[in-house]
Amino acid sequence: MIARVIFLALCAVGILTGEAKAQLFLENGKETLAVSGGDHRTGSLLIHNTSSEPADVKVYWEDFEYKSPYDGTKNFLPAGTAPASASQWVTFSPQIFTMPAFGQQTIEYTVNVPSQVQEGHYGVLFFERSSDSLKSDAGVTLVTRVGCLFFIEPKDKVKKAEIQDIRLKQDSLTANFVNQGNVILIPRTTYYIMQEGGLVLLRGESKKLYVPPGASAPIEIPFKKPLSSGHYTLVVNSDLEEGDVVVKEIGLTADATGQITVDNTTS
Amino acid sequence: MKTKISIVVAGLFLLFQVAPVWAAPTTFTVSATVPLATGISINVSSVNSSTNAFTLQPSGTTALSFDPMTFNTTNNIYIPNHYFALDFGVTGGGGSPDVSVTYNEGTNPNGATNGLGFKATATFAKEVGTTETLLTAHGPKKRLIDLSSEHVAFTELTGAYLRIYVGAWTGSTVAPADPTNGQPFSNADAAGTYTGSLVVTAVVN
Repeated sequence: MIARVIFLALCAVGILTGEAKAQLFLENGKETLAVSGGDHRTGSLLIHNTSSEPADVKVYWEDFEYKSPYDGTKNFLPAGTAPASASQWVTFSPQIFTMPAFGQQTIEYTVNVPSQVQEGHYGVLFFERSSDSLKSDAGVTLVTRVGCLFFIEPKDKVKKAEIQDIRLKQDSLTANFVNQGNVILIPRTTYYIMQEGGLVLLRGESKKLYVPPGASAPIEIPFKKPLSSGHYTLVVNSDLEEGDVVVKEIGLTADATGQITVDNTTS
Repeated sequence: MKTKISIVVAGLFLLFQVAPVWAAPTTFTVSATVPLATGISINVSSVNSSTNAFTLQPSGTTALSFDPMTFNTTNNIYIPNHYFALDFGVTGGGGSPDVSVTYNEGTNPNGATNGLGFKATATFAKEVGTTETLLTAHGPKKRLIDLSSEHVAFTELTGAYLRIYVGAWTGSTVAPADPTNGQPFSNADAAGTYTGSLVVTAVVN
């Protein structure tokens, strides 16, 4: 009963944000699993056909990678081709099915983790409307698909990052968020500039980043108004979720002409 | 007298023993979890090139054929009498999904290059009611062959839905102009059927 109420509520959200109701509606868009070596995990996903027509669906695995500038843009790759692919760990069933009008289907999946897991492994399980009758004899064939992202990460994962390469531009400060851990980090970065005496002059939030291990993602902090002559402290705070935070304090000096220089930085 | 006092003391003793039981607060935890749901729908309309009149195609339409194309003797190119408007409804629960669009070339009588992806375009727009805003960050018009994980973030579509116009390249200079690196269908092309697929993906981040 509760699941049905939640589903109907989600459909209502869809009506508000788009013109049409989803024809394929996947209840779980992301599965996050914390695993140890040798784990055997099972789970299920539920997909709905919210249209009045039957829907033929095929299910398949692909790898994905967040790509620069790490704003959520992804490359989807054939299964087993990405360095952090989990394709060899995951099996699922069924792989082809037909949903009746307004029907639903449960897909069971199993994750078999090798004896040692050193880093996060990822992939996406796609649900694609598929039928030979849908293919165009001439012109363009439309293919629509929804996916469930899989984040399979070790329980003892290392979440470590630094904010580096601080540079001043005309009206902003740029830096790089460098992921030094072994899992994808999704930092939500906020910042504020304090005057001497602790008064906060401005505050803001950078767009969310999706940074794979070893990658460096750009952060830009705009100075929304000119700084008057004086010393300031810019505090950059990247929330890594689960209580982990990266903080960088940057000393700034503005001269009488409004020219800004970086005095020092501390982590 | 001693008996009465004993009864009162015993009563008070029992009262203090019982009181904590009925006075103790009980906390009921109420919770509900909204999943990161993902949904996608598509409505396809055929649009008359002369009148710009929309004709909604049957539900589930995924085949976009430019046939019949007619030969334009002024420009010596083949032109269809229609183009398509694809309206995507993207549904999210706790987090809204992004959309990415990739084109894959299919059969190409011309060989390895100059297929349908060079001769057809996609124009990206967001629709709020009857107001249309072209998404300049996505061209707003590109050749299909140039669509590789074209990423439309959900933040670009807040309160709106995504529309992609798919049409044949004609060299139009009317805004939004056709990209200059496109090609028309002409008698220089090999005869045959040109195909491709447009893969539209909705996933959360």
